[in-house]
Amino acid sequence: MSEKQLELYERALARERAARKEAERILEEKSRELYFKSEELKKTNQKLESLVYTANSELQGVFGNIADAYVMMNLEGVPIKMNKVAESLLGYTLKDHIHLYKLVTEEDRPLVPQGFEQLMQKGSLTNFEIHIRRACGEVSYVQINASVIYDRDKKPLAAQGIIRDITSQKRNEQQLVDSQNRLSTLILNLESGVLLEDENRNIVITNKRFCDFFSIPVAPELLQGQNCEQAAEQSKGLFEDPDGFVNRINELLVSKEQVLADELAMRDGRVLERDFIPIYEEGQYKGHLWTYRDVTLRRKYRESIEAERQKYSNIIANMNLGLIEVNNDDEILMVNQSLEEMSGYTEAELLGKKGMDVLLYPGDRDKLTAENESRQHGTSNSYEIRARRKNGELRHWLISGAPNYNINGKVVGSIGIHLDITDIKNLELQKENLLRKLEKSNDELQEYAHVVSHDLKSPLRSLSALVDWIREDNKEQFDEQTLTNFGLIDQTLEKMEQLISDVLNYSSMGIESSKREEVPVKQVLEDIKTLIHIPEHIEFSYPDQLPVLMADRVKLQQLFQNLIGNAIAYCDKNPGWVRIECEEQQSNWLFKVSDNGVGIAPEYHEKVFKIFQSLQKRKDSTGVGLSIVKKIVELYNGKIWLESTPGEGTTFYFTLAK
Amino acid sequence: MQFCSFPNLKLVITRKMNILLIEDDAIEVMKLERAISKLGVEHQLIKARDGEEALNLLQAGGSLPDVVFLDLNMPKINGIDFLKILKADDRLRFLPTVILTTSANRKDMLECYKIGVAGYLIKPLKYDDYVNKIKIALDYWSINELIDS
Repeated sequence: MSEKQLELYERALARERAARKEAERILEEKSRELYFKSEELKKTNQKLESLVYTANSELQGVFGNIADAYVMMNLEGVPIKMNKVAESLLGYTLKDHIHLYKLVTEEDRPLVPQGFEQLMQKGSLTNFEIHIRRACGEVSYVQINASVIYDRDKKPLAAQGIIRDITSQKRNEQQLVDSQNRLSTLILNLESGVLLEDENRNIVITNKRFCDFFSIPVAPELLQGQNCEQAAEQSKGLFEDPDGFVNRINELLVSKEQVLADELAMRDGRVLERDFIPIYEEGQYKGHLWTYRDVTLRRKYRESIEAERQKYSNIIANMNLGLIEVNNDDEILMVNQSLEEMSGYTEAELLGKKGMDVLLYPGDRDKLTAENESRQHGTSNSYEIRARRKNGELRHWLISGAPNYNINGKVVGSIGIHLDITDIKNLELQKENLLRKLEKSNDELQEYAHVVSHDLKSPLRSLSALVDWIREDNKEQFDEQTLTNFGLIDQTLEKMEQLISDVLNYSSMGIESSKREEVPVKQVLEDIKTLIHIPEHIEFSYPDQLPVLMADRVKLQQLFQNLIGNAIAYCDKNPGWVRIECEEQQSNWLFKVSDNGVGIAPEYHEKVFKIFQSLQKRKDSTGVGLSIVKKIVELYNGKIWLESTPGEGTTFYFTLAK
Repeated sequence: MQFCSFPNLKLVITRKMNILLIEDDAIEVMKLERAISKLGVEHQLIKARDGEEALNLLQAGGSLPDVVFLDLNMPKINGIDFLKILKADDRLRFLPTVILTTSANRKDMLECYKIGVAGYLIKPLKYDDYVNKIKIALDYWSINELIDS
């Protein structure tokens, strides 16, 4: 309800009240006269009864015509007369003989004696307000204006009064009060500090928050009516720029124009935001409203967000990865410096263009389209494309793209991180080529080894045959010495043959065969036992439990066969022995091949593994065996070494990866 | 490796065979000639210096040899190519062809068996061993029934 309406309402009420008062007064006078007359007549002259009746009727007419309830009661409080309005208000008629006092509600009953006393003493009762319970059970708030009727001897005879139902009026008033209270409470508890001054700078209303902001140690209610002329001067010490604070207030008061969101830094680090709102009523300046808000937190958030933003822009600008932001039409919105360097284009040349048109190698168009499509559905992806630099150079880029969402969670484009992987890619290609070449040259090498071995062995065979024929054809003519020499030629040929075989073996051993199968070591040893000649006086033993390895069976056999063969060949004891042992380690198997043979002097421990290093010139030793062993062990990521005491024996240790 | 010979074993039937040797090395040819004469069976040896010459001989129309000894390393048409040609020829494909080589190249061996050979002999170093091997092979083929062309 606006103030204006309220005022109007109240004015109308007042007018109505005055009019009614007048009517009541007239009514009271008339009825008093009437009563006197009738009493007089009753007492003194019954003859005049008809006259009285006429007058009564007149009066009845008056009762009937007034808008309010009229009741006359005797001094006990029982109605003697009631008009229609009174009957409908109370819900009772004269016949009910109700006691008026009893209509008053429990709570208000204590008020009754006071009212009655006042009525009897003063002769009248004005604006006596009380709750009554009507016949229908409803409670109404009523206002009673009553006066006492006296006889000629000034003796009270009865009382008469007008009863008005003010329930709804009271309710409206209450609502007004409530809403005013609510408004004040609201203002009092506002998060903002509020100060409303009238045109003379007297405080109309202020609140707790305001008092807090300005460290005013009293309740806001107590400030009402205080003058604020000196207030700014008094509290300027709270601000970083005290004079600026005072000057600005004066400036605002002079200009009388609305200013919002002035920022004020306080000494204690807080930041306040102030609105100045002048209030005009029909063009007339009526005062102004100051509103202060604490924006310290908001300011801090803003500052920290700004700092974060700065940090990330720095990262983006300085990172070695090219960055592109595009919208849903693939038009470039932003690129960083690295991308400029990668592409050879400047940012200005790229903005608004489609990456697909400018940067992409046309052959990869379909690929990129497919990747973009999938990103539209919200998936991040990474892929390789070929890009074309401004100078036409073809580069390989690795792109990691992620959809970019707006605050409503809608895909508005994407952000891609670009890494130039051309060098890596080239290396990869190079590596692939090298591998292919290596494979080819391995094959060629093996082929070559076979050809060489064939070509070397063939003449040996011819020599062997020719020597044999000479010997056979001239059997009788050769002396003992010549025959021995022929024997030596045979031995040399055999050694040469063995050497060629070993070299061929050695050269093919380093080639990693793709053939890997489960090979039980025990079975390998059993096979070796049948393959090589073990003299009677040498005991060959190995444990019952031996591992199963993933390896090339032939290579594994060669490994053991060479070591065992060596141990047997260099055995000078009777009885001699060769023992195999095996031990499981974390990621390896450790094998031991030991013998009680001639042993190896320490200075040869390294040398024995080198090709063509045979320690004793023996007719059956080519010096290739142990180098083949080493090659095989290394092929299976193992190590080989030995311990030996010359004259006592040797132990070869080697590991094979599990 | 040891090869056994059975000097006391006399073959009941010793058929005279025509043997075609395809070999470019003169001494190798002599070796086989000498080995055959040493065995005392009068097999007849036909010699070709390379695949081309052998093909000319075979396609000349005369009677075909009973068995062919083929060297792998040869100029012009090498052993494996020659073998392929034989196997592709309707008339020559049933000729028992035995490879006689110094090379133990596993790849070659696989290839030969894949195409189809009647044997794969590796020439041992010692001539005596060689003679033994040849004897066994010839004895074997001489008791075999062969498809006459």
